[in-house]
This record gives sequence, C-alpha cells and structure tokens, in this order.
Amino acid sequence: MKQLLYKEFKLAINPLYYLVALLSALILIPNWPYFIALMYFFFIAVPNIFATGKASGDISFSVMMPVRKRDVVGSRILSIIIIELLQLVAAGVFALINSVMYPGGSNLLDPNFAFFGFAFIMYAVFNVIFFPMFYKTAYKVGIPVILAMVVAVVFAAVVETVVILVPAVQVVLEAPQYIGVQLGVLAAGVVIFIIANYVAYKASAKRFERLDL
Amino acid sequence: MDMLKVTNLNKRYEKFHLKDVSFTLDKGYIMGFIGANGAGKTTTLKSILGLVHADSGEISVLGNDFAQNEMALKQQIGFMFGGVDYYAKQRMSAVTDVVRRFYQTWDDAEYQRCLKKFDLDENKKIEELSDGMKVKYALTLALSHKAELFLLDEPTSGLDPVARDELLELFQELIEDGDRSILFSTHITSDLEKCADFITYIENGRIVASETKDDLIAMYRIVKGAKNELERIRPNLISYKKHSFGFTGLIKTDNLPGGMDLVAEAPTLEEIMIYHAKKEADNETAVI
Amino acid sequence: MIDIVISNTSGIPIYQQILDQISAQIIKGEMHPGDSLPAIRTAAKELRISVITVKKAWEELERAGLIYSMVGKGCFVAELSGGDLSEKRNELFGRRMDKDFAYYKELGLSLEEIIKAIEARYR
Repeated sequence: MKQLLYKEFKLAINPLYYLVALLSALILIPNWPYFIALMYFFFIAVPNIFATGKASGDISFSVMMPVRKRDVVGSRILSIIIIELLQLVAAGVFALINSVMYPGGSNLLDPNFAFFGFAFIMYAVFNVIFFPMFYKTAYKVGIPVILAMVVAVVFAAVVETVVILVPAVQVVLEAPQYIGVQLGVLAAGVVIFIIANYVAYKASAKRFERLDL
Repeated sequence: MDMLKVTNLNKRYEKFHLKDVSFTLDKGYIMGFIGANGAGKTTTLKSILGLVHADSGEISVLGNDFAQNEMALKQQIGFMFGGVDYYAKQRMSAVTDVVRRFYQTWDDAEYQRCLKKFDLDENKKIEELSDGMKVKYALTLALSHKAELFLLDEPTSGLDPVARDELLELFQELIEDGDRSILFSTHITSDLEKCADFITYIENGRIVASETKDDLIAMYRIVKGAKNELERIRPNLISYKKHSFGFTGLIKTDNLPGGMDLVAEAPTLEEIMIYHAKKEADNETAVI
Repeated sequence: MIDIVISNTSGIPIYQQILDQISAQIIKGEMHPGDSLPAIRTAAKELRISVITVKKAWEELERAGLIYSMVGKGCFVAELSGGDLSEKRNELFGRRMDKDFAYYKELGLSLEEIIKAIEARYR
C-alpha cells in the first residue's frame, strides 16, 4: 500500500494537479458562489488524472506488482482524497483572508465553518458516485466523472439556493451566535466525508476485484 | 520441479471459450506458447496472474497455489505484457525507483549490471526506447528482483530479426544455470525452433499439444502425395491442401499408413499450426 | 575441445547429429578418456538449441557407453581401451547399418544392388 501510494505521487499523478489547489484563491472574489472555487478539482484534476492513468497503463502496471487488487483501488482513492484535502486546506487559508477582506460577508454562503462542512459533503458526494462507477470498468472515465460532477454541482447549487431563498437559514449558517450549528455542520461534513469514502472504497474494491483486466 | 502448473483452466466469454487448459513448465526451461492471434494466449497468461478470473481451474507456481499465495508468488514472477508502455513519459530511473520498492529481493547491483549489459541509459524516457530496449528493460526489472518465472506476452513481436535473435540468445542465457523458467507467447514460430525446450500449442481456446519441441515435431508428419492417394488417406489427415499435382497434408505420425506411395517428412512448427488452423476453419465452414 | 556443427535443414534430428559427431570424435580418438564434455545447459546456449535436445544426445551417448556422468561434476569420455573403441565403433556401425538396411529392403533393393551402390560411393 505504501509503495502504491509512492507510485501514485511519483509516477501516476502529475504534480501540476496539486496546483489546482491554488484555484481556491477564487475565494477572494467578493459575493461569489465559493463552492465553484472547489469544483475545479473535479472539473480539471480528476478527469485528467484518470485519463492520464489510462494512457500510461497505470492500472495494468499496478496489478502486476505484488500487491492486492483492492490496494490498487485504495491507494488511488487515498491519493485523490489527499488532493481534496489539500484543496480544502488551501481554501481554508483563502477563506481566512476573505473574512478579513470582506467583514460584511456576502449575499451567498460565506466561506465559514458551515461552508466547509458542505464542501466536505460535496466532495463526499462526488467520490461516492465517481469511484464505484469508474471501478466497474476501471477504464471508462467520462460518464462516471460527468455524473458525479453534476450531482455534486446540484448539491452545491441547492445549498446556495436555500441560503438565498430562506434568510433564516443564512442567519443560522453565518451569524456568530450560531457558531455551534456551523461547527456542527462542519463536523457532520467531515463524518459524512469519511463514511462516504469508506463506502466508495469498499464498493470500488469489490467491483475492481471482479474485473477481468 | 514444477515452476508453473496450470490445471484445467476454463474461462467462458461470450464469443470465446478457454477450455480445460493444462500444462506444466519445469524449472530451468523455456516454453514457447504458440497459437494464432485470438487463440487464447493472452487470456491464459492473464489467468495465470489472476488478472482474468478463470471460471475454474488451478494455477500453482513453485508448488504453491497461486490464488492463496498471490502476493508472495508475484515476488518471484517477472512479467511483460503488451509491450512496456507503462508511464511512457517517465524516465526509466523514475519507474525503477517505484518498482524496486515493491520487491523484497530487489538487488541494486544486479540492476546496474543489467543496465550496463543491455546498454540501457536510465535517463531515457520509456517512450524513447525501441521495442527491443523495452523488452530488455522489462527483463532488467525482473532480473533485479530475482524473478524465477518469466511470463512474457509476445516479447519478440515488433523486433527486427537481429534484435529478436539477440533476445532469444538472452533467454537461453537466463536459463543456463537452471534456476529460471521462461514462458513466452509468440505467433512467430521461428522464434521457437531454436531455443524452446517445450512448446504449448493453443488453438481456439484448447491446448492442442504441450510437449518437448522435439516430441511435438515427432508427433506429426507432413505428407505429400498424388491426387489419387488422397481419398484413401483423407480420414487420417488433420487437414490438407490440394494443388494441381497432388496434395500436402498434416498427419499424426501414429496414423501414417504403410504401403502407400507418400512422402512423409518432419513438419516445421509453422506447418503444424497452419494445418491445425485450417482444420478449425474447415470445421467452421462445415457447420455453416 | 569438441567440434559440433549443426545443420537445421539436413532433416536429421539435431540430437542425432550431435550424437553422431561426438561418437565419431570419441571413436577416432580425437577425444580422450576422461575429457570432460561441456555442461548440458552451456552447450545448449552455445549451440542455440534446446536444453532437452542436448540432454537427449548426452543420454544416448551415456547409454552407448561412450561417456559417463558424475552427479554435480558433469560428463566425461569413458575409459575405453583400443579394443573397446573398435567394439563401440562396430556397434554404432552395426546399428546404423541395421536401420539403413531395413530401409533398403523396404525399397526392394537386392544385395547385389546395395553392394554395387556402396562400392561406387566408397571410392
């Protein structure tokens, strides 16, 4: 597993895609749907990483090594999670700067704890759809990535829409006196993210092990 | 000692069926795995490595069941599948740096020795290598982790005659000390005339023969005769071709009738393959 | 060192070619008792033929009593006196003659025809 993870970062994943994390700087735009800043990860990084993997024979190579097939899946999912977390950490830094730059907040959801809770859920949704679908063939990237992307975008859109249409929700998600609720959303997001990834891994590994490569 | 034992491997696809594939490769020998394209060579090799899930059958490597000892046994297997096109944009040194971590028995000195011997420059990208160099690189990796069983899928395809000859010589060198075995598939039968000790011949998912090369050739005869002889011998022939002066056919040596005015000579591997393939084609036509 | 020249197109099985050539060299005294034969695997590599083929030739040589093998050490030319050698020579000759004669008979050749043909060739 350790070796496979090394392979991911040394051979399989172009370091360029870590830089997608820098697109979190879009959080510095005032009055903007900040979820978009986090979406470049699955707009750009995921399709490219998996398409490159296909071109470079990543999976064929990996399964020849003395490893378990499920670890081939696990290492890939883990490396994607690492990039997601990188993206979120970068976003956290820019969110801090954002809160200093715009003390008045925005009309949409501010990049606060609750926002990051939802961001975790957005990534969880993406992962839980994308990985099991992809590992059904370990070959076709297009449909799984588009479907996962659409659902994740719809989720973010729903959150933003509710924030706009229901002022009470925005108050609870943004006002300092409801910090407990906001931290709760973050905690829930983290828990959902962990569970979703575990489910995604289990389902993906099971499907991948059944595959004839 | 058995290096590799394949027993009753079955795999059914929609349009193709691997049927009861069995053969054994002893330690210290080269086995050529021949058959037409699509006869099941790659599927068999992939099943051996567990990449394709056989419906039934057993694989054992060095006397151990492969399915139960996959991780440990893979440590001792060197492979090459479908050209070495992995991570084409990467330098060999980067690929090696990853591969070495997977093998407990990795030997850096051996790796350096092989690079030198094969004249490989580690700083080259995989895509810059010729087909022959790619095979050598795959062998370098396998030798560096002390592989004992080499599974090579079409290692000679794409090589020019000189590179091919060089590679086959290398194969013989590899087995010289008697500790390693090589199973390599090819559809170029002349590859095998020289170096192979054993031949396993697969046709349409079934093993036609798995014998020492000398025995396999001795099992068959090419017979040539006049047209009027054909009717009598036809039931004994595996298949035959007619021409304006007579016929040429393949026959099992045991079925060779006495007392006929026939020329019977040892076939080449290619002839054995051609006439078996013709039989398959004839059977299909018959069904239609 | 022994000489072995293999023809891939002669139609004679390769092990037979090796067998014939080494037997001849032993019988003619070009190889001496105790001389070692190359290791089977080395010979196979050098001659670019299969290990099995060399093994078969070596086995036949041993069966003919021309060489002996010592486990772990390899094969050596047998200790044969001059009398032994001519006996071996006659034995090999006889065996080959038997085979050839069976074929001549199959072809329906008479003794006279065979003798005539042999004489013509021996000259």
